[in-house]
Amino acid sequence: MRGDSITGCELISRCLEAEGIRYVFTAHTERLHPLLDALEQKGDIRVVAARSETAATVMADGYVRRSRRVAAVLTDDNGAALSQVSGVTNAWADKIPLLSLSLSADSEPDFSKGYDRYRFDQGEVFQPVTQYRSKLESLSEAQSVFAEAVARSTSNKMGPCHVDIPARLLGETIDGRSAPDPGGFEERRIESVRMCGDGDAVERAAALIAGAERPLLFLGGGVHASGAHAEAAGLARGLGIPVATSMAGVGAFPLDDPLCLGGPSYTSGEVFHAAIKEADTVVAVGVSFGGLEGFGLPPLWSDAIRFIHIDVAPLQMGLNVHPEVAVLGDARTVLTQLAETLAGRGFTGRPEWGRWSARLAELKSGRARRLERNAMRRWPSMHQGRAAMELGRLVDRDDLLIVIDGGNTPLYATMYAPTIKPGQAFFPFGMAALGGGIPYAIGVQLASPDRRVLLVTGDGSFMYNVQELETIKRLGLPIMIAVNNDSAWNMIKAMQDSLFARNFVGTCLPDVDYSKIASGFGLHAERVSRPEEIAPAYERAVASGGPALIDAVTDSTNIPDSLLSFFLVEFEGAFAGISPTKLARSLWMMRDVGIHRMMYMSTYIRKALLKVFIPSGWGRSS
Amino acid sequence: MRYPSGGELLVECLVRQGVSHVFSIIGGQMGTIYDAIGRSGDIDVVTPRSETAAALMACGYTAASGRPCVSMATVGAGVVYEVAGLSKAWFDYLPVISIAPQVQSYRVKPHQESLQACEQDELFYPITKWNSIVFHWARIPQMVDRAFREALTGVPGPVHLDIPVDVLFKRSPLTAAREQRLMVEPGRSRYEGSIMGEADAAGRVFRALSAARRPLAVIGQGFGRPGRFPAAAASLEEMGVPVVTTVHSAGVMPDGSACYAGDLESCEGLEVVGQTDLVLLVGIDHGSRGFIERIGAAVPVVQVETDPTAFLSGRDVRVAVYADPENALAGMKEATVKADVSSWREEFVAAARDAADSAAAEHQVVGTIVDMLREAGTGRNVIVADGEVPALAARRVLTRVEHKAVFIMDEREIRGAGLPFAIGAHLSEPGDNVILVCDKNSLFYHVRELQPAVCGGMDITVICVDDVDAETNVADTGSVLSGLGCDVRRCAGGRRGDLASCLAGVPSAVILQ
Ligand SMILES: Cc1ncc(C[n+]2csc(CCOP(=O)(O)OP(=O)(O)O)c2C)c(N)n1
Ligand SMILES: [Mg+2]
Repeated sequence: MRGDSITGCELISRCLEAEGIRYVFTAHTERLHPLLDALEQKGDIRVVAARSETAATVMADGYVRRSRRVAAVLTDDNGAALSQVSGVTNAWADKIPLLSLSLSADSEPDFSKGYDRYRFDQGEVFQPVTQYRSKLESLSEAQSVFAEAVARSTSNKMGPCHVDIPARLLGETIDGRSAPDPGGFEERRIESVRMCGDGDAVERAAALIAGAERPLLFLGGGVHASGAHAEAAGLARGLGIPVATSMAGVGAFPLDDPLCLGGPSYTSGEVFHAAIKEADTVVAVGVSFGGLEGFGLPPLWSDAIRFIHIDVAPLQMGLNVHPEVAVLGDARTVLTQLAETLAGRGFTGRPEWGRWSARLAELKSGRARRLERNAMRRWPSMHQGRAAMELGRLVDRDDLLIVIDGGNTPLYATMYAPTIKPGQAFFPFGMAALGGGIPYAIGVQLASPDRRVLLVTGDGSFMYNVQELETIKRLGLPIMIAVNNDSAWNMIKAMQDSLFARNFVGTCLPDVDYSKIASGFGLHAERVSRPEEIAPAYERAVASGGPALIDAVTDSTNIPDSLLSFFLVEFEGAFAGISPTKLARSLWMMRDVGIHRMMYMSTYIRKALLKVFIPSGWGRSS
Repeated sequence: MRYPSGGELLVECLVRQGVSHVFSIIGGQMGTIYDAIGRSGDIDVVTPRSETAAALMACGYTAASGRPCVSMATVGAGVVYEVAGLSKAWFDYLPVISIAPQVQSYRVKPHQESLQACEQDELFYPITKWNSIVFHWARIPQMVDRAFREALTGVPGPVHLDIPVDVLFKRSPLTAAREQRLMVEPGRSRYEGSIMGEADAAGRVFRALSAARRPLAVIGQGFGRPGRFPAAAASLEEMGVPVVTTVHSAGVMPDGSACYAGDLESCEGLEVVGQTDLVLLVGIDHGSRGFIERIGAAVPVVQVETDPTAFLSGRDVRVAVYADPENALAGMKEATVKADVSSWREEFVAAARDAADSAAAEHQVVGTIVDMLREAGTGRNVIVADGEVPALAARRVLTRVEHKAVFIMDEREIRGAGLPFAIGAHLSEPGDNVILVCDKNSLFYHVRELQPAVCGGMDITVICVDDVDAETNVADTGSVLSGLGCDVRRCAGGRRGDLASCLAGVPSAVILQ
């Protein structure tokens, strides 16, 4: 009640409640109990306990991604706090707002003594991977510190914020009047500020589009953040502009739309490479142009492209590409403005765009046929793309939400499951960090009780958070897991195959039966090794009523062609150490890549290869 | 002339430093490192199922063997998992060498949204003694030497190196002359000799101790791990002063020592502690610091350190000796023979052991565990304790059961470290019997690591205290462990022979209900 004194625990709970936090993810420790109890007594806050702090953080991220509502992760200090770093960094890379809270030491760090190791500055670790970090110095500032953290994490370019809570504050008391009023709770939605673009800039963008010969609409994570899917689709279809998405923008546009190039970024292979070499104008919406997108620069992109860059964060402008027109504003709002401006000019596209998009569509269908033919060929064991096709059908039929984790596994999933609809797939790819799959699936499932979540994961990635199968059971979540079990850290094994003369070190995994592990945790689990077995196994899994796992044994010699594009970015400037004969061999030997297409593709990457070899003098290498 | 890649150069330097184990999950940017490891044959790569566990295994390896080893994680994605595990090396004063690739040297800083990148060097500042980025191929040897020097000199601790991918993949000519200049023997790139201290270091300690009637020795991280300073341990034994250890020095006194009172956690709050009239402090750590602060400020301190920054400030350090424990404590026995502290010692040791016993008596299962360990006791048992109840058992084992080493995981540092730590300890000396005593929730943190342990045929035994109510952890421990391939037996009371029968073969587990 007002006027009474309340404890730090009660105060912090009320502050989080006032910030509209409905879910707090944690891993229990004795010291946290009073605070967790206080949170649970709030009634409208749900405390979800994970088996590890690492997993709790990823669950919070998954919940936020799906619900577009703010959530918190709360842990103890020291190693428990540092265990949040992987999840927080993932959220940071994908620009997901997340409130990261941990207890911290009561005393200030004293660096003068080399042995005084508890007194390190834990918050400092979060500095490079958060939007903002701070420490609660006293209870009286709690309200403003939490408000600031939530505000910063949800404004402009979004991202996680970290707050350290000195443990002594939990037991201190404070006058209840300095706390926000209890009750009146409403879960905080992450609202985009509907900032409109400068009219002039929009005019110039419209003019640039109208004059383009081969325009491309390139959609990034900003489209999800702004909820601009309909506007983006409207613009593309209204004018007939082909659409590609970045990795973060996966699902921003239906993959099976004729205007869509295919899977995100390089996963659409030669279609994407052709588009970014031949386009003369690119309308980029909420894209950061990082390494995953080849920085938007040569050698992968044509340097004749004129960019129109639409983004809410001014610091993103000019970071890698230098736009012809930069429009600062919310994606949905600016796209609407752009459509209106073009309509105002009576502009409905140019006739030559039809040829341009038809050409890309032809490449796309050629690629789709080739991929399918490859997958349907006889392989020693199940082709990974074939497994992905089967799963894709199930996703489509049952309207599942799909979470993807792994190395090659996500590439196969996006290449072979073209029916994924906007908002349906969760592909936390910012850091390309393995292992978040199970906790992501839990977070996504908690945010959408009426849908079923399917996790598609590599075998390497699956184990990182396997302990959370217990959490799935405990919370009674109907999550389905499909393990693409190729007994390998295959994305990297493929690299050793092609660049290191098959010197396989640290990339082979033993033949582990993951269905046994899942059964150990009490899940319904089966192992399959043929494509026809997948759908029936799935039926039985659904019939079991609870969470289930399908361990699909697949062929480890399969290598997706889009991997090559990743290599080009990852090893740009580094190929000097690789002999060109080995590299050439690798290009020919990638078994999934038809020689025909390979040559086609290589016309686009030849320049890139020449560029990395010649100045660095490979001739002297082994 | 050779043209080694950066990765090859790195691996040669590590081999030169005596590294035999690298704990790591691969990433593409580590291509040349792994290729070189595969061709060198001098290094084993141990692949766990998460980078956090890789770092924790490295901790166990280093703690158990005293040999530095390497924890390696890939750029950004892997490193962010590794940080949490490496923090244990920081808290525990373990010289783990952490190495990670970075994106191209011309893109490292400032961050420019490269794939997987972040300014990862900054993640390591707070939890390493030293870290750096190697921007040039020719600097690899020097930086590796520097990393080992920083990790091993003074108060030990982890260090970290970032090496950009273009530096790792670059090949440069290495002439014989250049090789000789770049690659030096470890003994010439850091001080490996003893620290003797002043000529009368031992004499000064001797005089201070002679004046005391109720001296107490508190030995911490600076005493090293079991076996590091055997002569110093023998000197303490001869002196007859009661000795307490911290979690960082547990078990350094020989089995059957009459002076060893056990872990200082069990002495906390004992009346006898308040009667101490002199503290001999050897190698302070954050565990011993709090304990010493609680002993009256008037009680003088005699402090022996191998790091000059470690001397206590703000209290009466009567004698400060900058020397190895060996040199500072040599020939101490006359000091205490003169003062005859035997009755004080007996009183102290009995009180401390009783305290450990009565703390343990609150949990019946502790008695069961101690009995099992005693029965299976040999000088080759390495015991790793993780969890509150297991720690109680381990504290009793310290002074009462034959063992080679005891490692108590400190829950305030990081939880669940026990299993990967035990695997690391096993790999450092596969002939030892590594026994992990843990509770259910601690075990679950890294339970996945049982799979590589099973597939690698590692001889590790788990005693799991199944003490959690079924609502907070619904999994059946036995089924989970069997699912992972462990050989499991459950026992309600702990029958004779239950543990002994597990001590041979593949990973096996006893579950105490
Ligand atoms: C945390 C982390 N560690 C290491 C890597 C480097 N890496 C990228 S892909 C890959 C292999 C993944 O194996 P799996 O999950 O089985 O998927 P697959 O490629 O076999 O489909 C590895 C180790 C990473 N991206 N993230
Ligand atoms: Mg795999």
